[in-house]
Amino acid sequence: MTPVRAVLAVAVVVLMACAIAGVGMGSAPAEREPAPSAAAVAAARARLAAGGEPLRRGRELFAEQGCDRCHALAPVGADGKLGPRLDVLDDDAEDILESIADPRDDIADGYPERLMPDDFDTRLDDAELRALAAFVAAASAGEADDGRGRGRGRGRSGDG
Amino acid sequence: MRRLLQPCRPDSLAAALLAVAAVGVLVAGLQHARLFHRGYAEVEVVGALFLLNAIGATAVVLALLARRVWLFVLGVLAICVPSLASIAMSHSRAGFLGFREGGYDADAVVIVVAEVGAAVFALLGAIAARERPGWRAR
Repeated sequence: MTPVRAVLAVAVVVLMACAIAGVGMGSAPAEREPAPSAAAVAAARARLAAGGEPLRRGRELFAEQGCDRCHALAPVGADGKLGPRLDVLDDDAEDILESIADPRDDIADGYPERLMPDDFDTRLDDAELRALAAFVAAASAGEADDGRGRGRGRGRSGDG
Repeated sequence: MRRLLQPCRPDSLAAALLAVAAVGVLVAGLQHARLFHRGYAEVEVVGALFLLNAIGATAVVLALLARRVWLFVLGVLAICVPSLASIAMSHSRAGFLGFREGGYDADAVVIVVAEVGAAVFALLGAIAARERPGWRAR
């Protein structure tokens, strides 16, 4: 190997090793969001347990539709980091429903604009959309009555 | 197999085409590594594949620098074609391994352009290397 090729090889290895190790690669926007408190998560779990069939169906849809791959939702152990945390929302089920149906309407700061699929309103029927939105609203630990009030809202920020 | 691992020296045209392919696969690998650390690490299987893309890109570029031209060309195709297919699937209704994306943002466009370019230039480089008389094994 010529000296030039050797230098190039070392440069490529160093560059890619740094990239793979995460040096200078930044972090997921969701990692900068604080997780809900343990008390808020416990309260959300209690709400889900008492929620009955619609929330159970919503939880199934949350997993089936791959929402947990992109969004964090601590009460159900979802740890996705591509989209905003859903467990600190201050939106009600109706707002969340609008966010699922039209995720591009209002993107939370720092998140990709086109990442979330915008076809949930055609993949799911109305009852399923409402069950999913009700589940997310109930599981949002920011909603817990723990003295801190609800978490930070982010409008229509790409739930789903 | 022997030819795959045999060092060889392509002429300047083929070398230039292969160098462009190397830049393309390296850019795509860097972008995959960047996205891995920006949230894709948590996506089951897909995150690991992003990391494998970056490692594979490093390996094939090192193969080119070591004059293993055919190994490089084969490696570029083995990385870029499945990667491009996966990106297309993840943007379809079917999804890829349960993961779906809504649209092509700047990050995805960079990867698609870099990988298409890498695959095309690697193939052109391989053709040029085969057809031009300057091609020779070392």
